[in-house]
Amino acid sequence: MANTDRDDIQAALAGDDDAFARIVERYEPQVAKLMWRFSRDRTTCEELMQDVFVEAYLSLETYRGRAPFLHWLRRIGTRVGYRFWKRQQRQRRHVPLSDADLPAAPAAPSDPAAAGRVLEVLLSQLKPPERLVLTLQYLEQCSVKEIARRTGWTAGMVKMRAYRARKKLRRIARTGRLLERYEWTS
Amino acid sequence: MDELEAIEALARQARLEEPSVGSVRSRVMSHLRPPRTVRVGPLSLFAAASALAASIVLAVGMWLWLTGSDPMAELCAPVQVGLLW
Repeated sequence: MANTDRDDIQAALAGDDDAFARIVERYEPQVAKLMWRFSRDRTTCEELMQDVFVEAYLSLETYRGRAPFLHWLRRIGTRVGYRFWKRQQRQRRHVPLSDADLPAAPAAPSDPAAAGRVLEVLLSQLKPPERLVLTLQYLEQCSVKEIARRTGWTAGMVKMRAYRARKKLRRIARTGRLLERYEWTS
Repeated sequence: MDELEAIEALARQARLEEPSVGSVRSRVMSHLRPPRTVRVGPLSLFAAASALAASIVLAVGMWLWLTGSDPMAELCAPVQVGLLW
């Protein structure tokens, strides 16, 4: 753990709010990037980021400093995002992927935002646990061990969910004729 | 190309995306900081004075209602005529 982090955490625990503000400022870009995987809506993403930092503040005492602070924050972020997906799933009924769901193929073949939108539509067809595993694998480049660490699931469970999710995703992509629509991905 | 390879290609591109979100620092800090204590001195003084005035008006009103004569009854009562001489 960096000295600045350690000092700021200790100061925040002692009641120095400015120290925690510095922590927020330092890790905002990384947390934003992670929470963007859970919601591409700007307002929702900012709310999720806020939830992550508030939760981090409230459980700051439990941070032991064995792993980098960012890893700890990412674990909280994953939990907050997963909870958000589960809440979202309870509120809406499952809508099968239709032609209208997939965004039009972007003009530029290397448009990350367009690729992100397509991927979000595809992954949103999965159940939250499967979606989480593939999101962490594809977008956060997490290993099975890392996913297990972040989610609290066993490595075996992560592998099984990833296998099932990929199988489902292939079927969804086939139904949505992904390859014909997005030739630029090749 | 297989569908999953296409999805992996999409993911490679999507990883480069920069999220378009603003700073949440001030929102987080305002959420965590306890709200400022509002000075309630003048307000509570005014509330107490109002309550006292209302109680006095109520008490006087009740007393008048219970002890005073009914103006309608007085209107309908026969006029007492008495000889003065």
